[in-house]
Amino acid sequence: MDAVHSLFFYLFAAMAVAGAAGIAFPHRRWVRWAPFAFAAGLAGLYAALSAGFAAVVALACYACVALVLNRLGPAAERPTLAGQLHGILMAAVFAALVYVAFRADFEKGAYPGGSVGTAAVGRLLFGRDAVATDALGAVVLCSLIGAAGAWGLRRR
Amino acid sequence: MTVTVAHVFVVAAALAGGGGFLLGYRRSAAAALTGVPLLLGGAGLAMVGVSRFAAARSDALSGQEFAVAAAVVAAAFVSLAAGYLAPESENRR
Repeated sequence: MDAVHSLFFYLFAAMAVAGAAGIAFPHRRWVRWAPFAFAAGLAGLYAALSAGFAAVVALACYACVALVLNRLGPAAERPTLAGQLHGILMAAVFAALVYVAFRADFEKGAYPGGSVGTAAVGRLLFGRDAVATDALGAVVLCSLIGAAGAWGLRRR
Repeated sequence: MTVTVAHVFVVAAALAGGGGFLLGYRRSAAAALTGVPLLLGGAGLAMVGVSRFAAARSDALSGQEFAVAAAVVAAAFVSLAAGYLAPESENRR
């Protein structure tokens, strides 16, 4: 990866992490913009990693997520002891993942996964029967939207 | 300065860790819901990073396919949960 792509990667990484921090710790100044910053940063990261189509889809999907989250609004809560312990646990998980990321040798771990590996499942879903998968996905999406609307009407 | 798969994993771990933190830290379901997109975004970023750096010779696109699927699942899940939780959130206001 050349210097320009690396620069864009770090820039979008900072934007995505800042957006995630804004979502985690909502403040009235940036609470509306943090989900959009997360969406733009994540899409930029995908684009910097040569995944242009995934970047476009992720930008559309996470922008919709940001609109929905802004519709719900922030919920200010007092932290509990269990929540703080969970925060410490997740910090330990993050430290362990960073340690593994820098210590592991990913080039030698080339396990293909067999028939349930990502490549085989990707070929099964998107190789020969891509139209059927898309049609099934459209049906599931329509049913989810209908179920969400029906639940919303019933609870009112 | 160059980016490796380890750098991608660090950013993905930060996003996924933030999502996991939100899921456990927030008590109300509407607030904990905000952790799901972060969690799935971090997972998708790790998949794209692996497909870019570590799986270039064998199958370069499967990680991107699953990143797209993760984004669609995040949008569908948040839409469904918001439809279920929106009246409760409006009553709270």
